[in-house]
Amino acid sequence: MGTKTTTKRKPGTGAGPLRLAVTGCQTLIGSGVLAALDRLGPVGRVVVFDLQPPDTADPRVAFHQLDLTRPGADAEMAEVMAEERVSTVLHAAFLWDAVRDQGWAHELESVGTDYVLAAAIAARVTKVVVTSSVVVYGVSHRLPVPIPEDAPLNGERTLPPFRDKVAAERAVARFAAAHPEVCTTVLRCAIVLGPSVHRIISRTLHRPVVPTLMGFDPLVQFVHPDDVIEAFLLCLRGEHPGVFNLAPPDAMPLSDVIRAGGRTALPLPHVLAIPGAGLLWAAGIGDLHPSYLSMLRFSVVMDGTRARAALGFVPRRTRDTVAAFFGREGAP
Amino acid sequence: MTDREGSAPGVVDEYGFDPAFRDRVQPVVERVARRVFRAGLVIEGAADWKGPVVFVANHGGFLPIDAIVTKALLDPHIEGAGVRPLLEDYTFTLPWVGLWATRLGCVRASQENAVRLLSRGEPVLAFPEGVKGAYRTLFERGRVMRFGRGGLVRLALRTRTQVVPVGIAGPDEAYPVFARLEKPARFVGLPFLPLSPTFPVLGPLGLLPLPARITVVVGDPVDLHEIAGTATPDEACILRVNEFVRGRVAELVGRARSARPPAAGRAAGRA
Repeated sequence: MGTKTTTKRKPGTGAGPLRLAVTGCQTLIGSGVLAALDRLGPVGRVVVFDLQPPDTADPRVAFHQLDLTRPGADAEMAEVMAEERVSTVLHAAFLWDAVRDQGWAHELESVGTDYVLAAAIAARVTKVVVTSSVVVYGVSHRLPVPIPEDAPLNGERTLPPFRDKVAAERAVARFAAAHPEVCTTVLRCAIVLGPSVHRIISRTLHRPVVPTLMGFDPLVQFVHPDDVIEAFLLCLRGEHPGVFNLAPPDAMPLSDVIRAGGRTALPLPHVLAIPGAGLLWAAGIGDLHPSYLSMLRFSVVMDGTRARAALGFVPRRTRDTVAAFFGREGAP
Repeated sequence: MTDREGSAPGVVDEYGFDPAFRDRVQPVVERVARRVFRAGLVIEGAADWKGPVVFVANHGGFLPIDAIVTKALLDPHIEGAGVRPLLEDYTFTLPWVGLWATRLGCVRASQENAVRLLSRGEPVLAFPEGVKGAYRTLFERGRVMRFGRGGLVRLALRTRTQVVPVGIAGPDEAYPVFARLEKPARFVGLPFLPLSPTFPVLGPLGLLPLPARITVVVGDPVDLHEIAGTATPDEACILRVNEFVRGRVAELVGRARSARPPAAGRAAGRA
């Protein structure tokens, strides 16, 4: 995602150009949207809240250093947002992978979301767009097929390291119900697979040997990073209140993904691999939380029809995303 | 990608059904069913099932041999992609078993899945006894347990689905269960484990079925609306229809059990 050439625009007034606030400018979605500002229509001001400044020299972007885990972050944000007359908030300050410091994850994802929502109301913004992930549905053999947006969020039970993402989603749902005047959008991304993605799944598939579980071959869905950014741009441009799955129209068996990349599968017995991964995680070795292994065991297939109908979001197929990831053009 | 014969990647449906796998494996399943389980199929009445159809059968066995064998026998009589058995949740937590069942076309039993398949015109094979039928002990052999709370009947009435009762004899003998082990099973996340002549003595191998004769009898379709006698059935009516369907299945189970010749006629059952 290279930085686009910047074009100077006059600072907007009133309901004219977009006045946007972004949290989490180092994440895939935060940085992707900042790099694609020109595709958002007229943009007046972009206020970035993060610990690190964004990698952009765009004069419309103003960086405001803020630690979302610090009490009082909401008041500080609200003040800056009101000053900059922000109308739209993109909340992308979420962790991609499971982290060992669950206390910090809780402060950042769950409490941080509360702060962002409180600041949004205090600054009287009209639109809030929140990033979420397929992990909020959890992983089990009891998942609906395909998963609709109104399916129960079982992430905290089956994927404990992601429980704060579920808590954040619940907070956003309460916020949307209490503030119907604010256009609140939640986008639940399928697993993003791309060369610039540093999630554990992309990293694992880059290695020559990929662990799998003996006797299991779940269906997986991958979405291309460019498609995810496109969906966020659609929601930042238009009015699309609600929750949407960002999912490709197809799914692939994991074994076909491994074969497409010419990788070697290393099948492990799940009765040993899951406790083994738990021991490694507890000992501080590696970054594979044992709950990831349940993703190698059970299929997770989201229903993307709502986003297709309401947003006009037509992502690449899983097959094409996988082919692009492994450096082959088009579907095999 | 082309190294796997006859199967293109990405052709599985959203449940993981792989038609190419089915075409390759099902003939083997049918041969094993006929040789090892001396499986036989009797279709009473006309086999012209039209529109959405749900085959309602009695259950039996820890592993879904009843579903796999019935599917292998029924599929040649069904146009299209074949019947989709609805199986217990726990089946899909078992390594290999869940995977192969999925690739053959089995689906986790749920209202949503049944409606989805039926709305696409795919015939469904349901076991409304649920897990109670799967863990029937030797002492309950041949009995047909309660058909849930009538969810299947409600679904069939709502979607105007044809209901075809099926009686299966044999799985109870293939899994002679003395008792159900429920507490130890909970440790491994299963609803039960059988205490049988082979399990746990032989370890996981003891969970394989014994080669008992399996006979499947398919009855005449039941017109649920006629039995309900009303377009807007209430709860009592649903339960009455549910009990009627269970009665039909029990009848067919009885016929399937008596249709089986004694040991002397073993060779004849091979055809």
